[in-house]
Amino acid sequence: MTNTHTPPAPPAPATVFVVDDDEAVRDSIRLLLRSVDHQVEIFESPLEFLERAPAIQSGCLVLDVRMPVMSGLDLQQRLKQLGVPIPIIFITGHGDVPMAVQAMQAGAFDFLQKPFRDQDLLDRIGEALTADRNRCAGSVRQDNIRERLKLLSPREREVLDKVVQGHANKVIAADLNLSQRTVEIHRARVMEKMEAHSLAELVRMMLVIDTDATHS
Amino acid sequence: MDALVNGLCPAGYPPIDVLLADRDVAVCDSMRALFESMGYTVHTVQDAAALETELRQAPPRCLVLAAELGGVELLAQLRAQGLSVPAIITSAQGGIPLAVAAMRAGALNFLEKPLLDARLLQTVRTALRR
Repeated sequence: MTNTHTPPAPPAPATVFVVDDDEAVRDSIRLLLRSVDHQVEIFESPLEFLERAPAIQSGCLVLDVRMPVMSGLDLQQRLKQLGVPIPIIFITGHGDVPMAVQAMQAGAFDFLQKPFRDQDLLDRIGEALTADRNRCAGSVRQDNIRERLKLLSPREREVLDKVVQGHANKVIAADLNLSQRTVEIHRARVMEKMEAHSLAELVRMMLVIDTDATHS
Repeated sequence: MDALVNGLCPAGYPPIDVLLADRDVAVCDSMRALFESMGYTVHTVQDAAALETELRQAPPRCLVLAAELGGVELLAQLRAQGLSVPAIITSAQGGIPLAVAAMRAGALNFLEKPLLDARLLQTVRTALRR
């Protein structure tokens, strides 16, 4: 089986990012996360974190709500605009219900009130990292499928689209003005290049790409 | 329209606008009056079983669910079953953990009681625009 596309890079280790303007909070979270062997990066302000954000591959963000200059909720909006899809766990000592709802509506992963139990924070971080890993795995799969699609000739791509729409070889042959035998050959090559082992798998691959297109 | 308001929804009628689920009859009545004054069609139910029956028979365009009726758990179940109707959770207990749980269960919004008419209307209007 030919496989000329480059294999995906190994996943970067997941990092827990923390943004809080309170030094005592930063220190205690740092200690807590290191004690369970999380890789940690700590920032004093949203602006400092924004410089780092575009290069982030995977992880989660523990974010204070109330900070001078730029609030945690503002940072959440900026990250959205920048297309950084990192799951955010808000922490706050002065939160209220409307604020929590607003953060969640904007896509926050969770919203914790200080003081919280260490274990609660660790649990949420674990869940957020799992969610982020799943998201990354999904986008790697989509990248792979897209790479394979690039290997198809224009004719093979036409055949693929018609196969996925559920047309029989005979119908495809008539539509594209080809012999049925030629369609069969194209079809076999499509299966090989796409590394699909069945028609159902091929359809699933195209659905994955489709879903992604509507999301972005 | 009377048939709808009284809780009967013959097949073929358009879906009702708002389904209210709250144990408190007074709350149901006042919310119903509020929504009807704005021209919305409304059903009310007082327990989870009636709610589930109603949802099976006539899915509404928007749900307003009291947390005290098990609204958060119910919503999570409905979402797991693939029901996408926009839902607003209300609660007299309030509190950030409950609000967050409601949002994670798939609520569009979470409102603390006592409910303010303007806020409730605005939230439902947003839900109906979906």
